[in-house]
Amino acid sequence: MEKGELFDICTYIAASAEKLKDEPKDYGPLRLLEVLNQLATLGATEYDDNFLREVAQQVKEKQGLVMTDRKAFYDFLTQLVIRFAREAKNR
Amino acid sequence: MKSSKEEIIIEVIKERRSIRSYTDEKVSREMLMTILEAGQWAPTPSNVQSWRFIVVQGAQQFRALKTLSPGFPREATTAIVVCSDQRRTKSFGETLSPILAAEEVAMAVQNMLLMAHSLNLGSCAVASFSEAGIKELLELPDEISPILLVALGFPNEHPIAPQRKNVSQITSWERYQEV
Repeated sequence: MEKGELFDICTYIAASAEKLKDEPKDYGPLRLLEVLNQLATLGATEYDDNFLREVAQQVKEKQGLVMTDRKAFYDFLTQLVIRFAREAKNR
Repeated sequence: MKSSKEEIIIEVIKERRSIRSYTDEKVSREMLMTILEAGQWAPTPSNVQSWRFIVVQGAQQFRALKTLSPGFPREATTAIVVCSDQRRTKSFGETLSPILAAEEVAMAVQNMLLMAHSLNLGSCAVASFSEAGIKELLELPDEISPILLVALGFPNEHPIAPQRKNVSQITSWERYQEV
């Protein structure tokens, strides 16, 4: 990971934390997913981690559901956590 | 019978989508000037023209802008920061001035989004950004407030239009009626 990439993620988190107080509550999970996407993308490259690579791709594809289909968005979050839990058992 | 102008306008309005996935291709200055001109010709109360447009494309500045703007599509290649100059709106008074600024910017941004679409560009209006962070980054004077960001680039997706209500569901005639 480049030093600049870590700085960018930290800046993004700080800006999100400041802005979220004025935003719809669904944006909280959305911002966390975006950070997950960025960290998983970096982790996939840094450690050649296929699980993180797939997660990053899936998050990228599904995060927009928050705008169009809230139920599908929250179902995706639940499935994502289950996926992490399954993976955790094998790490 | 519809005129060709009417058909073109409604087509552009209905086809435009908020684009969140973009290719690497850069937006030319010529295209940007066309988009900015469309914004500048939006309605403006009392011809106040309080808009200030700041185009951000340079690698370092653009990267910082994106990290300070949580709602900004990561793959977009250009940002237009649409600001309002409070010195131009203050004569409308404390209550009306910020409303007028938001109205003016919103109308300019819609023009920009439609022009971008007509140039086969993708775009997205972004309200989710840190105002304090953007003011610091762009060195905006106190009187200049960033109101909306316009993300631009060449689209890498063609989203299906979300369902809209029927006009009759939101319209009543002569006086308000629950629909």
